[in-house]
Amino acid sequence: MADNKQRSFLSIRLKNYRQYYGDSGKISLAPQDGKLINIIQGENGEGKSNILNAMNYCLYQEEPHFKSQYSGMPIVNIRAINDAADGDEVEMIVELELGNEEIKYKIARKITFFKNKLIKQVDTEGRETISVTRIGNLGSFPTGVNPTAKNSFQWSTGKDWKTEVNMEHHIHKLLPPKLKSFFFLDGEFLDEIASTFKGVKKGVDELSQLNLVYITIADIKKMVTTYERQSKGTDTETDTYLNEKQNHENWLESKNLKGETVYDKENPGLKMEEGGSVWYHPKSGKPREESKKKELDFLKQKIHEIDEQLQKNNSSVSQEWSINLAKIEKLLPKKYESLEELKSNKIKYLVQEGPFVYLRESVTFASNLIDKKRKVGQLPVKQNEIFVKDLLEAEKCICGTDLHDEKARQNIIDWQKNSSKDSKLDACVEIGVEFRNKLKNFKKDFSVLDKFRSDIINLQEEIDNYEDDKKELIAKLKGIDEIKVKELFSEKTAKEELRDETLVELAEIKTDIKSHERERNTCEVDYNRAMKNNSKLKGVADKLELLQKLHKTFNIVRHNVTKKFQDSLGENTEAYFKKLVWKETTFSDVVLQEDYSLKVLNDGYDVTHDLSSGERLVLALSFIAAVRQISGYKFPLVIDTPIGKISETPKTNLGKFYPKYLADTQLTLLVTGSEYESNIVGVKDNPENHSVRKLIKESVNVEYKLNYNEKKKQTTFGDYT
Amino acid sequence: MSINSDIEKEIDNLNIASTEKALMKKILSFELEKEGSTKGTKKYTEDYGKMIDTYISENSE
Amino acid sequence: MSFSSAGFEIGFPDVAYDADQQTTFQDLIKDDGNSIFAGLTMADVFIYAMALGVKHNTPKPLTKRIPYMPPEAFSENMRWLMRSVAILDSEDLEIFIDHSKVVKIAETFANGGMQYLLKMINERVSGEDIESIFETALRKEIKNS
Repeated sequence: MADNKQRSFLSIRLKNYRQYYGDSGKISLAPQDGKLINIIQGENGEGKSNILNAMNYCLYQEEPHFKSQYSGMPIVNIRAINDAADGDEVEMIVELELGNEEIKYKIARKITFFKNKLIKQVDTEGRETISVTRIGNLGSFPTGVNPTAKNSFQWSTGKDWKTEVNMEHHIHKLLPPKLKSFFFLDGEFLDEIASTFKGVKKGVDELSQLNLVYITIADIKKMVTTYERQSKGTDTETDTYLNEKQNHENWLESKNLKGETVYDKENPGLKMEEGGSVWYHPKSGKPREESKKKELDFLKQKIHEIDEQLQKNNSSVSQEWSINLAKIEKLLPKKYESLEELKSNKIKYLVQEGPFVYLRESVTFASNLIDKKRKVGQLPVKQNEIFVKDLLEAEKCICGTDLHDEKARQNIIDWQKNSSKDSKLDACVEIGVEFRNKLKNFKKDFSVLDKFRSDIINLQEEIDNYEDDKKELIAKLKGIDEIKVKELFSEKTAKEELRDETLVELAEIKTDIKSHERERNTCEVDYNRAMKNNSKLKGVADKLELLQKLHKTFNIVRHNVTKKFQDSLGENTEAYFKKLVWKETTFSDVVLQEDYSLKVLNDGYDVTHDLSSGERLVLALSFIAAVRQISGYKFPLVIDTPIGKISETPKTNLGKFYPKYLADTQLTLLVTGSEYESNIVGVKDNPENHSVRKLIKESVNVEYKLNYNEKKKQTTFGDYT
Repeated sequence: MSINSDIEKEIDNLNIASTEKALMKKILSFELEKEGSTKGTKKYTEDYGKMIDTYISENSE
Repeated sequence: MSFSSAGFEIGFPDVAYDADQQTTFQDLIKDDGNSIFAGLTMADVFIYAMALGVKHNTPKPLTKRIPYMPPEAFSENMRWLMRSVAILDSEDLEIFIDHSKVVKIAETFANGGMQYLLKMINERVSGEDIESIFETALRKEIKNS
């Protein structure tokens, strides 16, 4: 049954599915003349999205593109239910045919039930509603009915149809469920695509058969464990090496002896979602490394988001402004204080020195008078009491008078007494000196006053400049929420510290992992050697050695094939994306990560979540194109409302390039009238303002128009007019 | 269904004995078969073990 | 002054202003006042008024003495300025020994000089620094000396 050729939907048949009352018969979608684009046009609510749901239901028994107005409705058409009498059988069919010239597949889901009297519920406001119950993954049915499913999967390479039993298995081979979101693309649920990207790995692994390699590696490990278990208890040495090896392996996988994952409950990780539960990192080894890497990515993203917010507040500059303003506000009061002090000192100088200047004449007069009297000896010399005492003891005056004589002695003593009365005049001598000095030092120039003046002027100027700067900064900072900026900076700093800590820890973990891996390998070698030395265990040893080798080589294959796929996928996705999106220079890279999630980068920053809905659609389409190309897998594509949300230029680009990029893929577009037929205006590459319909006309196979009849509660397929 | 050509190419590029390459491809085919079959785990493990034993006995020195 | 004058200064009397000048003195030294003497002392006002009185040679006897300013309000420098005024006025060096006479002479010149002081203060134009007239007058005085 295997083939890997281009497959297309050949037909769809809907009977009593949702608003499709009655049997539509086979609506042909089969390509003709090499044309691969089918158009099904309908307005919102007419059943366009339910075609997508029908296909999903047929293949996977899911209806992922659900509109809320249907959530309480049974999956079976209500008119079919109402028209049937109690006891009549009601039948619902969803059937798909797909394939190519070599092989065709027919997949059908048929639900039947016997209608009962409809059970009604009364709500709190007294309204009656028909009760509906969900039956497993069959869908919702009127309560009380017992639907039975008859599903079939058939294939044919010629005339005869063969039935396969394991339907789900074969459907998954046609298109793995993990990839279906990329082949049944709902333009209205684009936000889910980012998360869906992350789930793509499994699907791609399956396509590339990497899944097979993973299973192989896992099974080899199981076989190794089986044989290792067989060797236990035979030999102490081998047991010791085996235990040691297993300890290292448990550390590397962060598992305990029972094989359960061990978590670091003492150090919870960051909450990466609002209202999310506490996150615990695995305690050791590669799981811890992966977990910490996730946390690191999260931190980097948060830091980037904060930077964006700060940029909006001109924060790098505004922080500088804030700092400068704070400096000025701290400095200014001190400057004002200094200015007041200067002025006060000047005033004191004026008050103190002013009188002296005005009284210069009287001071001069007094000084001169003192000098005059001193020169003519009218001022006593300051007496030396010791001199008098010496004279009396010596009993002889300096003039030669004998001081034994009582009278002479008395004269000396009287002279001393009299001259002490004049001690007040001693003051004159000193004050005369003071006055003379003051007059001598009298500054005829204005230097002191000039210095006061210039100091005050300079300081005032300095203050004025600061005040001007302050005003300017306040004006600049107006409108910037300083508190918010401070908070953001604080948050950013905290996150940067955490990020740096995480980087350090990651480096340590890497080293530890390598060390444990080395030790584990050494233990393995020792274990193997010990086993081989034991004749009882040699057979097991040989098998183990082979399996260990196979484990290594399959891992190499896995790694190389994965890398090849990822590189190819990433490059191709990027090429398609850049061609389809007009901002070629805005997005520097499209990167397919190890976990297969797509990242769109702008100068190294993750802007995936900033993409417009149109860009996300284009990214998804680019990825599909890349997947198709790499895997060679050509499952048909169905896209609901593909064009409505994107702007004119990508619309034009899509219209022009799409047929080329997905040249071999059948594409079924579910469109509204306006998105399909409106003229595209204002695009350089589309000077004639062609609509999408005109742009892709050459590639269109069939066009259907859905007609909804409100009265009949029925949608039918009609010809496009 | 057959083994993906990229995987086959990678195996061919490995610097190992051709017999080992053949074994790897055999194991992959075995796994492919197992996916689509209804064989039980026990039977599967037995067959896997036999495959390993056969290889060892055929390629032992 | 470098000499020990404690003994000499004993007996320096309180210094008076005229009764009708009391409010003026008080207003001039008010902290929030508009004058150059705001926050300073009555002694500062007295000495400045005295100096202006000497400059303009306008001694004016007091009608009613209010000896309000204690001697300790007057620094040594201030007292010797008062003495130089007394010496000039009496042309007698020895007058400085008699503190009461010195003070009396100083008081008349301060009383007479107050009008000039007030004129300088009141001449101030709104917005002008309070000391600018004093500075200008002083610069002029220094220049002419």
